[in-house]
Amino acid sequence: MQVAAILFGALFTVATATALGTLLLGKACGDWPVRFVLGSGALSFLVFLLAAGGLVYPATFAILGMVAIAACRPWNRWRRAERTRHRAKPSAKNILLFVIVGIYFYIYFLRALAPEVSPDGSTYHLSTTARYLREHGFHRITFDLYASLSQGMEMLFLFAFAFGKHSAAALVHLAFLVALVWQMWIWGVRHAMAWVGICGAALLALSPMVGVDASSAYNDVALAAVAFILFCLLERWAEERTARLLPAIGILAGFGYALKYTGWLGVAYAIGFVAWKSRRARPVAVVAACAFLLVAPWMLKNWLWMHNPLAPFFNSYFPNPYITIDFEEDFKKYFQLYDLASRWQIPLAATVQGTLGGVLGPVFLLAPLGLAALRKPLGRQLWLAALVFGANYFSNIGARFLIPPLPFVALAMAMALTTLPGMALALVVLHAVLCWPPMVGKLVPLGSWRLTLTPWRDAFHLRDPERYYRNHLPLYPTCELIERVTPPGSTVFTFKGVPDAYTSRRILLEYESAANQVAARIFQSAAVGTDQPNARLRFTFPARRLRAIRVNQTASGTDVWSINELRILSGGHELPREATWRLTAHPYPWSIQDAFDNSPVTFWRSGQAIHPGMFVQVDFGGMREADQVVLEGPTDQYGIRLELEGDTGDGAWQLLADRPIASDGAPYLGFRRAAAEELKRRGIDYILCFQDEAWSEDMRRNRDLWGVEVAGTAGSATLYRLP
Amino acid sequence: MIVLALTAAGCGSRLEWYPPPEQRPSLSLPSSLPFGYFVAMSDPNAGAYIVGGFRDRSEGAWRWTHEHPVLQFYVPRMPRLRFLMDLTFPDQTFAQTGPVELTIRLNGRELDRVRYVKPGSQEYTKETPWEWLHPDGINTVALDPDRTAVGPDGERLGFVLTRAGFVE
Repeated sequence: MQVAAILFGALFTVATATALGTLLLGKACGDWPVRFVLGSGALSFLVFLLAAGGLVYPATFAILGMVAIAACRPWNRWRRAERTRHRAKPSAKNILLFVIVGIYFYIYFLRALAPEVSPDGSTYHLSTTARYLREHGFHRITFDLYASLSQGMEMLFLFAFAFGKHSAAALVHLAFLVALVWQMWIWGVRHAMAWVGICGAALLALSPMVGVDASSAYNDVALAAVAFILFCLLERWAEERTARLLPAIGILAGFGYALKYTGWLGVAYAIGFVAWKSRRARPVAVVAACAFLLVAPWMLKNWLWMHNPLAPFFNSYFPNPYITIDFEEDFKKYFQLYDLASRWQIPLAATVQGTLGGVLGPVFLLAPLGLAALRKPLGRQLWLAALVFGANYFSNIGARFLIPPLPFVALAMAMALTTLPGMALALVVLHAVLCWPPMVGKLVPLGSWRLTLTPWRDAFHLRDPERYYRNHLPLYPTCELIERVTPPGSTVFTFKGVPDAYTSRRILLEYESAANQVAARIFQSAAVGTDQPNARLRFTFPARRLRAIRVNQTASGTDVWSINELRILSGGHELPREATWRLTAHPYPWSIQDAFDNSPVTFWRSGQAIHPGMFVQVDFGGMREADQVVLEGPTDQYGIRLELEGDTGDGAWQLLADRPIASDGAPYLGFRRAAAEELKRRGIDYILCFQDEAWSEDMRRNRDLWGVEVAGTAGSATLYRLP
Repeated sequence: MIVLALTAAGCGSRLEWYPPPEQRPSLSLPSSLPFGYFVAMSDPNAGAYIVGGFRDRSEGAWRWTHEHPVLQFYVPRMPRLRFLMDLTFPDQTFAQTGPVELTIRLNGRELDRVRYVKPGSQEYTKETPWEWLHPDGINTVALDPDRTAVGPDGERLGFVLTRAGFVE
């Protein structure tokens, strides 16, 4: 029954997308891959609208799908449409490659049909999908940066998930690989190079990175399919100048962005190509408008909810409370090099070693051979497209980020190699041997993401799926624990990502938002003593009547400025914080109140590396006498340089003290309890700790000081209930 | 259109003002008390914690002890407390004294004896028996080294204290 639901969910999604694609294309193009992928863009857009309207229900999707299928009467329309004749000459080598690719697709199918256990599929791709279904649409999610990425693929997952849950989503992604491989073959046929198409498609399809990605609830292969089909449609439009292809080109280009931000290149490519070929404004406007239709919803959603249309990136251009600039910089910096020492290591790491999150396969080390295809116009077009769709690669050098340009590279390699008799076939056969999953297991390190052979009983859910989850998702029992011991609506904070697609509770992962990072710092300052506010920076000046004070930071460096409490004194007594006071800070004003709440566990943080021009300001709303300003903060802000200015009532700032005197304060007693209460106040109900985390011992030994209770344990994880 | 939208979205750089928030219960002791449960020698008020046996003033973040240093603390009622101190045996004095045994007494009762066989910075921490403490009252801690060195001007020098007091 479960398998039937999964297959129905996936097939119904594919059928609906195909129907929508057929409606959009009419007779313009009858090739299934084009119709399916284009229709996926339309379906994704429609699901977005339903989610925005709070109409995410299986019944709504069923109606949408049935209406689309009925409206297009696919076979009637398809029959009339012009289709590429696919028949390849039934030679032995063709049959051999069809058999090899068929075997690999069977492996991928089993993997996709089995319970979904991929790293990102079992976490953010499907956790947000499941949330949208539970909540019947979008709700503001500021605690998970991944929810701000464009989620065009998640919209398709949502459609499938509503009927078949997690595995149906993975199967939908696999359908994109089928479409891509099919279209590569069609491209070869159209250019009277069927063997090139077949070899290129086989090189792509057998790649371990492509296989494991396509059979999981990811989006990289879908983007590759969009990129390649966009390339084919542009090529076709350039030949035929069929006006009906222009909206399809725009929709596909926009869908690329909706799938993944890196897909913006498709929009630029499509607009640039049409402008260059037509040299007229109208075709360009049609493409741009249709692309905008699919791009704009994601920008608008982020603009309204995250104050940044391009969230979670470009936060320095669109400052917001949800993602800090220093985090974004660290985040991007890591993905630009992972753990490599140099970019020169990328070719080997991405093709053989698996240290960039998977392997493309050793034969792609021979990709430079494909440069021989540059001798032909088609080869040059392929390499241009590869460059365009790979242009973003160095912003994230993960091996799967090479998938979008890979179809073009594979075809270029095939073009070059087919000029040498037997060479292309030999290479594909070698590729098939080297990429056989057990063989890949011998090449790549343990932990590198790769495909394993899925027993068919597991794939068809004939054995207990719980067993499969436990064997393939080490932290799955943690989600079971959370579901079992926490009431619905609970919020759990963790430093380690758990497969939250399998729990309905809200999981806050440490790095996924500014608020989560603040919670993490509060927790860590109590548990391991980092960032405890033991430093006192005291500005002393002759007593003055002041309207406002401002602490300026004047240095540049890598430190991030932080203040736990800012106290203003007169005659040795702290001025009470009155309702007339107005507080601000630059940058990151949103948490300035945390430096004025009398709690040493909370803090204001600049959210970016120090530079001149940063300040914290208090306007008293009237004249107040003061002679001291004391900043309490962490001791490790060695790079900051502060000065104090005051407004004596005439609106001009006067220097009151050019530097503070530093001293150490007493560690606070009751800090753990205060931290626990603050986390609770911020909506966190539970803390999930693992034995290998630095703070787990403190939590275990000092439960009384924290005021927490053990809610349950699973493996090395302990779930603590906050007071 | 996209460029216009992005430009408009980015125009949000004006200052945002907030009132003071609800005040949380203080974790600090009342400011009317002359001293608290923990002292850093860089604290301008460090002298208030010293009963005797220290140099008159701190040198930056630290202060020399003499033969019988004694500190006093006001210790609030807490579920559990540890005594913690950061101290240093400088090379110059250690060359004279050799290994030093430090006897730590809490309210006159021997909490611990620690033997330091190397010069340099040390962190000492130990759980304090609850019944030895005077909660919400004054507690004394004596830190007696068994050997002291003689400074250039004949001053008896024990060790250098950076901070000491009670923590959770």
